[in-house]
Amino acid sequence: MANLQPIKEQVDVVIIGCGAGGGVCAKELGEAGLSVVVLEVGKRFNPTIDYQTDKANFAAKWWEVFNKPEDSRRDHYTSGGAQGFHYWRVKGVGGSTLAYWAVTPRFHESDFRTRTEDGVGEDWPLTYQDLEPYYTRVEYELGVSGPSGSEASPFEPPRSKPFPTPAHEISCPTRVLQRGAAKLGLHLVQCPLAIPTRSWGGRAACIGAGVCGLGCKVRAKSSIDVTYIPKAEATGRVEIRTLCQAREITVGEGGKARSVVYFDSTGQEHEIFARAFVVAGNAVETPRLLLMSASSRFPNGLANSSGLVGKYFMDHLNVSMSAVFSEWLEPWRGPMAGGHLEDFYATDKRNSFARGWTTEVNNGHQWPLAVALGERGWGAEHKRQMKRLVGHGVGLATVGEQLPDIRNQVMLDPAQKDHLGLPVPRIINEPRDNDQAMCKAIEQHLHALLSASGATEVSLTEYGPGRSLHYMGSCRMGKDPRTAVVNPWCATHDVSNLFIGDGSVFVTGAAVNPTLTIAALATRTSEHIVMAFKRGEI
Amino acid sequence: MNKINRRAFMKKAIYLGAGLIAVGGLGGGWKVVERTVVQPEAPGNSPKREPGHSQDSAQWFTFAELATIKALASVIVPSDGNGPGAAEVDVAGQIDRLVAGTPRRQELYRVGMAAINGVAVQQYQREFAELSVKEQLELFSVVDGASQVMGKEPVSILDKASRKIRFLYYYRWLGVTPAAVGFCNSLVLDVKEKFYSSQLAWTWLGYEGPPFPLGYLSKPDKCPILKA
Repeated sequence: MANLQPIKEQVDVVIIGCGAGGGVCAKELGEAGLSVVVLEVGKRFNPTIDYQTDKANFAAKWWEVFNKPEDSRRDHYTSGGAQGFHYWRVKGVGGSTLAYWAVTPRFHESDFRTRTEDGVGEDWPLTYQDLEPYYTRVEYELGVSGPSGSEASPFEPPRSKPFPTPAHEISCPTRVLQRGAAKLGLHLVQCPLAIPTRSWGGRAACIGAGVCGLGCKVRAKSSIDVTYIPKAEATGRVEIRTLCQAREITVGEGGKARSVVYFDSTGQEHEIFARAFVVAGNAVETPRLLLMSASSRFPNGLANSSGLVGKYFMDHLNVSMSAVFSEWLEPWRGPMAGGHLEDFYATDKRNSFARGWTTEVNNGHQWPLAVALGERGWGAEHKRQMKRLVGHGVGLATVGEQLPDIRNQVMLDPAQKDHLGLPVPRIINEPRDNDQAMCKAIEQHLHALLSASGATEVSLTEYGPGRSLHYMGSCRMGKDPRTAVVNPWCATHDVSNLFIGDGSVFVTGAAVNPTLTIAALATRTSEHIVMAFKRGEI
Repeated sequence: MNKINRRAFMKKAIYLGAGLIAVGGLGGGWKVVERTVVQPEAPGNSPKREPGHSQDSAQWFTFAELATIKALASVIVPSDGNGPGAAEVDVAGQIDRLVAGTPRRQELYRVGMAAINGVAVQQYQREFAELSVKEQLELFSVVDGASQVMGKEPVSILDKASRKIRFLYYYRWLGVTPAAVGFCNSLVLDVKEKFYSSQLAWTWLGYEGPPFPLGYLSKPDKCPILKA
């Protein structure tokens, strides 16, 4: 810390990370009157300028938008296990919501008690009913669209209020798949999407451009940067510092977190002091920072007396299958996410595995250039394939529940360093017995659904660790400090003013996209922090 | 230098193509023909060029190079009875401008074009642009075949042996060079990007994009389920 700035800077709360967790906390804490500094390692994207989706070659260029850090070593990581791990996320104001497809279902009631119901995983120290009001609050911030009445999923958990905006129109590919689902007695419906179907929060309604994952140029998709962040900054009490990498959380003599040491964009070190801290880097970066913050008091990493920081890291079981239909589908119209099917969500005692999955329709990346680049070959035969494939393709992907396993973990790589000299994360995640059995069942299901729908050909992409882009666990929640890193309010058991505000706290991963649950928990955690401030506990 | 005429070139390809199916059948009777390969200049030795560097050039390519790119682009996306091709949207001109503005590509293209012409001269005694369409297809197929030797780790001893033989076949016998392979792989992507980003290609394929600023404006009236 030789080159630390001499001025001591103090705020109420420092938040590390500005995605679906940190961004939500910033708004909630700022509106409650607390002074907040958010340290975000990525930059602030300008949808109008940065997103390339008005260019003719957008299908080839979008990848560079989210994957070109100022220094390419910033995102280094290593992985173990037989299949390695594909780790992908967006670093920037808004985090991975910048690139998410805005699929925002709620967890089911059974997700919070898998040990009790199915004898696997662990029960959460809270229930669906505890979280329901926060789900509703987030849905109304984001203007989530979703079906109602007979159009709704029969498996959806109870809700206190209807979706804020009506569901998107069912796309043509989904209609084609619905005929297969109907034959099989399954329920393929429109899914909840954080893409309002009418103007919401001063933003225009979705225009069906179908590029949600490439960044929404018209700000219709409710990513955190266009929803929570403007409200946070409007309070005048929230400052977001971009291109800032936290390297350590320090602890004072009383055992409370005292400051964050971070690098700014020039590599200059700073230290900022606060009364409370929220770590919301994601389920990889959060344990990484805690492990980097080892000290004499916490020799195994900050808040790691349980030894579980980084452990029980979870991914979703993403098995996907692409299909070709003889019909003209125009899959590029409307949101990239085309609906979901939850018939296999709950444990079926006839299966050789516990828990289940959601199947989602994937309308994305069917533009001519995307198909051309994805289809190997050249010449007249390639052209024939293009004519056959473009406008006729659709995909299915699954969000399968990977059971928590202590062997799946995030740690610090003992040798590799990033551009700032910090140890990079090392990720180990392998599908275990239950996961593998589920993947096999998923493959059979996808094939059956596509066959029943009339697909002329299908192509399977087997599960590969990390491809879901949903990262969870690694600082699990629980009442017992010996078996959990954070308590039911997401405060670490070891350090009372240190909170975790992202998917790291998940006890189980459920079988739906995690964003809404991350945001709901962050809302709840923020409420607790505000109350603790008011009570003088922080 | 052992010269191989076109007929011999194709006979070899057929012979080895069949042989590779039964790798063991090649045995030790097959001899690698030592060949002189046109070596590309080492990176960094290339003369500096400015865009539009002479009257004999387009933006970046010389006219001779542009002819090579045009010929290659038409192999990758040909104009045929199925629809338009690279020639109709001037993919070569677009790539010329792309390369002019992308220093990383300049060396790749300069060395790569020399390499592909080197293979063409060795096999046909003419540069690529001067070959017939059939010959261009034959040669590009060989380079494409060579590219597939590289890549993923072998999955078995048989696979490893097969790759070794194919490697010798393409790189030692037919004179394909890594520079030619790398260039062609990149060129395929660049040509696809330019062609399939064009309005002409979109019209041919029934695509209305790109989606901004207003989204897709026509009604999705072709959906078979909606019709039903």
